[in-house]
Amino acid sequence: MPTPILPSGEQFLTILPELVLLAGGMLLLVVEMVWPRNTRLSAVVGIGTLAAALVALAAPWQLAAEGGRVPFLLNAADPAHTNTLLSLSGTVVSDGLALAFKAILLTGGLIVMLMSARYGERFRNPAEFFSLLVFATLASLLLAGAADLLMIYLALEFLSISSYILVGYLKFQPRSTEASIKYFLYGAITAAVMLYGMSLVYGLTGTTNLYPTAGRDFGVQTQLQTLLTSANTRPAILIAAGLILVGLGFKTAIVPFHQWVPDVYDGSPTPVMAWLSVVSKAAGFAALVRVFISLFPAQEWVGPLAILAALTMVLGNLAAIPQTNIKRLLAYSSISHAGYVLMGVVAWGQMQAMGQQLTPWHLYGVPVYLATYVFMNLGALAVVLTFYEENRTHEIDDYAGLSQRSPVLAWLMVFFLLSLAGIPPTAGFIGKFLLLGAAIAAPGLWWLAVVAFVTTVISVYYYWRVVQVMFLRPAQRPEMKRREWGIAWALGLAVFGTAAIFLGAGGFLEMFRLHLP
Amino acid sequence: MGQLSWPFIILLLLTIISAVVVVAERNIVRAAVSLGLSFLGVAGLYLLLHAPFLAGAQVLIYVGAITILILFAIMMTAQRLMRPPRRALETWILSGAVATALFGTLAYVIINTRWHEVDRAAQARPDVDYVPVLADSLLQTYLFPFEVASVLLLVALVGAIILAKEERID
Repeated sequence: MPTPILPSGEQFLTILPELVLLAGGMLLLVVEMVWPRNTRLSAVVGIGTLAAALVALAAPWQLAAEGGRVPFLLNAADPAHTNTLLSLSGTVVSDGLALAFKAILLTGGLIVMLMSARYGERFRNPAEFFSLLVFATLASLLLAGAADLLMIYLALEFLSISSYILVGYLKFQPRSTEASIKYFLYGAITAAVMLYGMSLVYGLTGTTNLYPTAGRDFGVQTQLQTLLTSANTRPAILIAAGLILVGLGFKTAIVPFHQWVPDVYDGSPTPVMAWLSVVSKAAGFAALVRVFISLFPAQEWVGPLAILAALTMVLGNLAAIPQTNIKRLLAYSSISHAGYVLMGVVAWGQMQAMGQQLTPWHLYGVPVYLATYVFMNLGALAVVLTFYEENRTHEIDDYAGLSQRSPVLAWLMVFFLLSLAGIPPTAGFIGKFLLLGAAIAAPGLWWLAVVAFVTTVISVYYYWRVVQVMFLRPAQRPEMKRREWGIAWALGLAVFGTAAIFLGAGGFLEMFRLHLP
Repeated sequence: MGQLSWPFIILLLLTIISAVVVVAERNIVRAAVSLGLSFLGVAGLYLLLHAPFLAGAQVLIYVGAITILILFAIMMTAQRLMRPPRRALETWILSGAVATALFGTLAYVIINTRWHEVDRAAQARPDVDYVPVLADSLLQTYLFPFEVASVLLLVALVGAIILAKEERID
């Protein structure tokens, strides 16, 4: 059944947050021309833009709710996509999955913008830095809402190109430039490989639209389902899926497409690293879930992706152990978190492959984990940034005695690291709990849950090492004095989010009890 | 598979040989010019596939703009990189093996897929003028991606200026 398309006026409501971001990004370019080097003003405009976009997200949310398209996330699992709200000739989708991811992306973007409010002072054109952050967030939103292969590719390139520039923004530092070049080479090659895979899909199906729309009663999804039954087209579909995985795996930083992560994260400005590790990764997962859950047959990809998830968790956590630099430590930890999320995607696919009824564990695991990851990882990085601004170092050893130099900062770091390790009373516990539950509830995936559990224990070790340095070693430098409103707000939001998801999970868990594995 | 026509074979050889030269040639300017030739061969293949507009666009954009841009970039930056060191034999063997494996897999899949079985919205027909169809899809169905592409170009432009402009801070 073709999905209804909205009347033309209402269509623009579905991309209202994107339009707000576009306007804000343009405005920032003008701000730089009229009031050059005014960091405070441009930061306020940037923060305002992201906050306004977050508010504007209510419009598509309302629109989707009106059409009886709740409960939201269940729509993503609706195999016939009769509930999918499409707009703009079927290139944009506003289902629960897209909207939930957009909320996550905008929140992440807002916190990063708050973090960089003062950071922009070191640039000659701070407003342009903020403008690029806004545009990059716009690209991530487009990726989350893409319902067309063309749109997915375009949004991914948009995301990549704005990221290359942001990574290389400290161009007076050779390491930043090197990171940018590395990121660019990886990104360009993986994007080309992905495009080749998409061209195979187009050749097979004759369309790039994922879902059937009005005036076009077929989409890639429906076409692929028919084509899979034929042995003649099967290998081509599988090859296409593999090639597309290369591009999406690069964005989400899963093994074996992760090699760029430590160098790029380490070399880029800290707010940009925060943005890459959270917003860019979440956008990649939005596309990964969209393409793999709703396009390609789950029984084919669950096996290989489960192995990749296990490898990602093991490699990310083991490589984090010997790190002496906090940014590199968090870079490897970010790889391992991609592994946990991928485990959630695999569990979701496994339920589809087995033809079983999806439970909330599977549907909510991935988005909830990414939401908690936004808060806890950005929180930890905000602490890292504050520390750097006063001490100009990222070495873990230099964090010695932070508990005396700045007790608040040290305790905040403990809180966020606890959350990253998945220990209550933090949001990270809820996220891990859901994903482990999803893996256990899916038939035949208990081994993946065991891998996740063991690697979580490993992660406690290296997070603990940071805590140990902060609390048990004597301070070698004077008390930290620097206070800054942007980072304070970012930290406040991160603490609020990390605590709120944990506390709010009570009501949440009621729902899950009904579906205990 | 039908008979191979002479124009097809000539274009094929032009495309493949110049593509190999791009990879093998140590002089970067020659490699760039050879890349232009390869693009030209692809444009010819588009013509044979009854896609004259695509062929024209290929010549304008790839042969015309991209190749010239690459040559400009070489002239402005890479004076010292003109002669890269000779590649080691192991590199050749390794990359050759990877390329052959990839080519083999893709060729196997492409040959074994019966593409004509695929139910298509519009099979390419030589007697149809595709320019209006292209215009329709560009400015109707794909209007939104088209506009996104223009924002992307704006961002790329701003970014290029930021990265290329000389400045000293801190």
